[in-house]
Parts: sequence; C-alpha cells; structure tokens
Amino acid sequence: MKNFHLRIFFAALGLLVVLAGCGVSSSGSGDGSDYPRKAVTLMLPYGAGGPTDLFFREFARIAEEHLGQKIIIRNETGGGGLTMYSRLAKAKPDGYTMAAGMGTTLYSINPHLELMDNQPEDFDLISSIFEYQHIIAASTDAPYQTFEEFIEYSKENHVRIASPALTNNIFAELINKEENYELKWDIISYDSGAEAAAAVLGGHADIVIDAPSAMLGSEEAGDLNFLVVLPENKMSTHPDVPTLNEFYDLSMSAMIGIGGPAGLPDEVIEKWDEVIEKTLKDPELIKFAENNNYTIVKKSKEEVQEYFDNQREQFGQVIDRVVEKQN
Amino acid sequence: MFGQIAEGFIAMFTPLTIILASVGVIAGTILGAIPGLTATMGIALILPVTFYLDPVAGIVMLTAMYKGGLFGGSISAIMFNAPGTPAAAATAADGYALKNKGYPRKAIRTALIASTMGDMLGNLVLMFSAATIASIALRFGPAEYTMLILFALVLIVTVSQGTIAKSMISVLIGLLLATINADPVTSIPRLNFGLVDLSGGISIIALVIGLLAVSEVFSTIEQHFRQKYKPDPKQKIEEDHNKAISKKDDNVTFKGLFEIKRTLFRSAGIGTAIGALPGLGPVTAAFVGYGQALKKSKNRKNFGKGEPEGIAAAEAANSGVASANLIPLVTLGIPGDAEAAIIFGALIIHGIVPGPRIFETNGTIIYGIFAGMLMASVINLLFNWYASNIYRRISFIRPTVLAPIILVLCIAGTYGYSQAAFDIFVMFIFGLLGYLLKKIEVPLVGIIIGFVLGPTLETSFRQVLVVADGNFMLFFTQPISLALFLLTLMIVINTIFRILRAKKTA
Repeated sequence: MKNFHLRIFFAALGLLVVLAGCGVSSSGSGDGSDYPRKAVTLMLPYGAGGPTDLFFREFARIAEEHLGQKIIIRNETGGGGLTMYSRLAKAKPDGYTMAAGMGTTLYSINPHLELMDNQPEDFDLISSIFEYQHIIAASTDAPYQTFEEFIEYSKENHVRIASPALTNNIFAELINKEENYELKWDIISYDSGAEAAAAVLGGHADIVIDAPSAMLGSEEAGDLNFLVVLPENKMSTHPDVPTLNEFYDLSMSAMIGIGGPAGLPDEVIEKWDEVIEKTLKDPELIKFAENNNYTIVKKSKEEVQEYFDNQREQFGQVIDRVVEKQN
Repeated sequence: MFGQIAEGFIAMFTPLTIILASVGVIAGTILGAIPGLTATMGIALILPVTFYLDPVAGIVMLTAMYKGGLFGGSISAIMFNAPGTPAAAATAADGYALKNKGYPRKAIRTALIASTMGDMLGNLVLMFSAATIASIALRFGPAEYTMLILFALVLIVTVSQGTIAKSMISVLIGLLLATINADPVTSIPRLNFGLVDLSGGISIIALVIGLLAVSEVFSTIEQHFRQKYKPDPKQKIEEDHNKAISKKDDNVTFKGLFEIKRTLFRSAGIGTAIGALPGLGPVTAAFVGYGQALKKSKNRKNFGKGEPEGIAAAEAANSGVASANLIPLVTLGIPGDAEAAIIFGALIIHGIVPGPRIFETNGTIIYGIFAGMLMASVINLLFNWYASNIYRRISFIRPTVLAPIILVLCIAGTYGYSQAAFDIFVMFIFGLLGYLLKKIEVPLVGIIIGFVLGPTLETSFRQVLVVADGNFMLFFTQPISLALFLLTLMIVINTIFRILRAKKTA
C-alpha cells in the first residue's frame, strides 16, 4: 500500500516537471490588435553576462515600461548562436517571440559563407539598436605606442593578432588591405574576448581586436594601451583614442538590431518601433551605453538595409582571404 | 589590507545578505540537483534580481547559488548516477557505487566535506594571493595549455581501471565527438552531418546524462527482467544487505576523513590552480583531481567501486574552481568562464570595473563579496549536512520505481538546458551507446573527459601552429610547457614499466 502511494506521488512529480516545461512555451493566438497581452520573449544568440546580454538586460528593463508587459530574455547560444536563427524562423510571427542580435552575422557574413540555411528574408528586422565599439589594443610594453608606430612595426616584424570572432578577423584583413597586404599579421583565434585579452596580457599575442569590456580594467591599471577605435565614433570613456578613419578611408563596426520571424503583423512592428524609440532615448539607457562603450544607433529599416548592403560588400572584398588563409 | 578585509566582513554581515546567501544556496542546490538545470543557468536567471540589490548582497547571492548548484549536481550524481551538472561526472564514479553499497548519506557527506574544503581553499587563495596566482596563470599560453591537456588525458588513460587500450578507446571517442562543432579558427560549422542543431557541437548535458544516467536506467530495466525470469539468489542477498546498514553506520567518521587528508588537500589545490586558468573549468579539475588521487592513493584498487577517497578527490577539485575562477576576473578584469562572466556583468551594472585596481577603488565591496562567499560555503555545508537525511530516504525507493522517474527528469533536464527537442534524441543515442560500452567494459568517463578537453586541446594546438608557423619546437622551448611534457613522458614510461613488471610476475 505504501509503495502504491509513493508511485502516485512520483508520477505526479514527474508530470509536474513535464508540465512546467510545457507551460513556458505555450502561446495564445490573436490578430495583434491588443498586442501585447502577455510577456514577450526576447532571444539572444549570445551567452548571459557577455556584452550583448548586458546591454539587452538593461534595455529590457526600461523597455518593459513602454511595452506594458514583461520581457523575458532567453540566451539561445546553441550552434554558436546559429540555432537561434532557425528557431526564430520557425516561431509563430505573433510578436511574442522576438530576437535581438539580427545583425552583422546574418546580413553580412552568412551570405558569403552560408553558415546556416536561413536567409535574411526569413526575418523581419524592426530597428537597429547599437554598434559595438571594437578597438585595437596592445600591451604597454610593446615597442609601439601609437597606431602609426604599430603599422610601421608590422611591415617589418611579425605581429600576433588575438581575435575572438570571425568578424574581427575580417576587420583585421580589411585594415591589411588598406596597406596592400604588406602587414605581417598572424591571426590567432580565441574562444572569447576574455581569453584574447588574457593572451595579450600574458605575452602570448601582441594585439587584440575586440569590444573593450574585458580590457577596461587592465587599461586603467596601465597594462594595456588602446591604439585605435574601428567605428567612426570615438569611445565615450576614452576620447583621446583616435578612430580608424583618421588614418584610412575606412571605418568598421558590427551592428545589432531587434526583429522577429518574417510576417509580423503591422501592429506589432509599430508597437516595437515606438517602444525602441522611447527606450533608446531614455536617459538611463543613454548613460549606461556611455559608461560601457555601446554606440546607440536608431536607424530606419531602409537605412539599416543600406548599412548592411555596404557592409556585406566590404566584407566580400576580403572574406575569401580570411577563410582560405586559415584552412 | 586586513583593515579592508575586516570592513568587508562587516559590510557583508547583514541579515539581508545572510538570508539571500541561504536562499541562493538552497535554490542552487535544488536547481543543480535536477539534471540539465545547471548552476550557471541558475545565476543567469536571478541575475536581473541582483541589479536591484546592493553589490555585495547581489553578488553574494549569485555565488551562493553557484556553489549550491555545483553541490546539487553531485547529489543527483551520487543518488542516480545522473550528474546534475557536468562537473559532477567524476563524482558519480565512486559516489553512485558507494550509494549502491548502501551508504548514501556517507557518500553525500564525504562529498560535502570535500566540496567545502576545496571551496574554502579556493576562497582563501582568492582573498590573499589572487594577484600572484593570476600572474602565474597569465604565463599559460597556447603551448602550455596544449601540454596541460595532453598531461590530463594521458593521466586519465593510464590510471583508469581496466585495460589501457579500453581507456584509450574511450578518451579517443570523446575527442572525436568533440570535433563536431564550429571550427575553432574559422568559426565555420564542420562535421555536423548537415544538421544545424549540431553546428555548435553536441550538447554536453545530453552527452553526460545519456552516457551515465540513461545507460544506468537501461541497465536497471535489464536487471529487473533478468531477475524476474531467471532469479539469481546472490543478487537477492545483496539487496537485503542494503537495507541492513543502519543510519549510524551510514555516516562519515573523523578517522576516515583523516586518512584521506592528503587527497583532500591535493585535489583542493588542483581545483584552485585549474580554476585560475581561463577556459578550463570544474569538469577538467574534477577529473585531474580524481586521476591524481588514483595515482597516489593506497586505496586505488577500490576506486570506482565506492571508495570515499574517490568522491573526495573529485569533489574537492571541482569545488576549488568555484572561487578560483574569480581570480582572473578580480585581478585582470577578465572573466575566465561563464559564471565569472555573469558576475562581471553584475559588477559592471553596479558601475564597478573589475581590474587590477579594484582592490584600491572598491576594496570593501570586493572583500565583502569574498567574505560572503565564505559564508555561503558554510551555509552550504550546514544545509546539505542535514538534508542528506532526506537524500538517504530516497535511496530506499526500489530501482524499478525510480527508473522511470529518473528517465523523465533526464528528458526534462536535457530539454530544459537547450530547449531543443533534438538533444533528447542525442541523449537517448548516448544512453544506448553507454549501455553497450558498459557491456564491453569500456570506461565511460573517458569519453566525457575527452569531449570536454578536446576543443581546448584543438584550439590551443592550432594557436601554437599559427604562432610558431608550423614549428613544433615551441612546445619544448617554453619552460612550463617543457616541464609538463616531461611529466607526461614520465607517466608514460612509468606505466610501460608497470605493465612489464606485472607481466613478469604473472
């Protein structure tokens, strides 16, 4: 008899677990006129605690007030972030499954390399949100202290470049192209920006190209030296660091936006456009972005399209070199 | 410095912090004990809550949750052979065997004491010599990482029970499986059989749970039917024997703990050292600690058969990581792993930039956090010490009743980890593979360690090739790398001699 009760108890327990699993994903339907009626999931292709995650958690906190519903951040890091796209493409376009992160990887790299089956047409991009401020940093012990000295040095000597992402490799090749590929740069791939920065601090690499979040502490302590900022805007925390377009007719950035699966109702797009507009103008978010070196970018759909068209073309000039050199 | 530490303790010792640390530990333990819900997920979930708390309370809660989660993973590893977190896979080896012998509470409490030891040591090192350790850790470049992993793999192969050939097969399967992912140099998915779901690699949770827990469920089913149709009288006696062990005997003793003190300290040290190196993590630490204990211990013959020393070796090492992984974060501003990255984020949100100067600019807060982490260890010890009585009761449930529940939890956990139904298939495939490999006595832990270390091995090796332009000499010109290589060579030679000697006497 006792055993019987135990069985019932555990069967119920098991059921509960299963139900709890299902409860999260069940979704209602509607024409979108009273959107949003419940919490909205915002997927990110990057892990918790990283620079993208940090920004969107702050963004979501403020956007919730304008949206009138909770925003649940879900980190979809599977497949190096690629599975997020396939999952988003399969999601119902009802505005309750949205994603942040539709940017450079999807529009400028994937068309060249076909990393995934999903195409830009499978998604509706609503707006751009921010640009990462990639920088080039070196150890303060290096034989060069400025970007010009560094370029001159790399014409004569081999330099080891630590890069945590494909986009960053492309950036390096684009700079090299400006110098007619005379720079003796060996690109070493690292799993994360943190590991790349550690490699430079430990003397295992000479230069790191990445967004600066994991480098700010070492820079403050005088161990790292910021040589140049890749996009056209200067760093808000380090206005003395020159931008790349002071040296070449070149500026590079990676941008990220918010969107959803293709076929979002107009009401949803309008609502999000309004929410994004208000959130990006919120003084709290602006202050957060300034302190942490994110460049907020509010562009219309057409402007974003143009931005990525240009970037895709820019990347196309060197992408074969990047992939071929490393195989 | 001591003034700051004292201030830190005062800043931490508030009722709110104590309550939050307790909540963190308990919630972490529960989350960790459910396979698939890892400690890192737990702290990612409560991260937004901590934004509203003051930095000390918030981050103490995060670390308390992580510690609770790491230990919770060991509970399900011991009770069901289903490591709640991958880090507990090494604990499962002896923990589950000891539980099956009828000592669940002893297994849990041994793990708990070892875990607390490892954690405390890591914490003290973090407090007093983080900067020194960090500067040594920075000297580990690609060549050193490659050799360190080679050392770990050779160690695992040579110390495993059973034949060396079989453990090599097992580690090699693991390394092979690890090549299914995005190419570490070009980031382009490879060897994924055209499946997007595989382009980021096989889910580690699906692999670990499949190999250990699901295969165990299959074995239970097999045993049940064997027993039903062809009763084996010996088995019956063993089952009765289980119930005969009294609660009093099912406990740790001071004498027992004293005997394994070397292993405890060695593993705690290994965990702390590996924790300080970015990118390796608790799984590596647990297996290296376990491997070293196997090599050094007098009881090595009993390892894998429910030897408390084996549990202690794995647990002290994986918990040593839980504090030591913050070393690169607080000294260099570099988050060494996912957990450290989340805490990094929490600090940034509070306007604190981690880096070498953090002790000057925010000393009280940082020492407050360290003090809170020590407190979290103690709370974890107290909570799970008493809770182990409950876990003991679970072990009285008949395996045939438990098996389907475990299977449901495995499925839910694997799905919950990645929210991909695909991973459930992967889990079952590994369950079947594990079941078959067990029949031919190929050790399963080798697959896990190969799988965990494979990507770092490949990345580091290829980094060396780029840096040295294809020249292998870099491995032998760097002092640390050379030392590790010689150590590895010694193990290999030693093992060859051991085998030859064994053959002679036989």
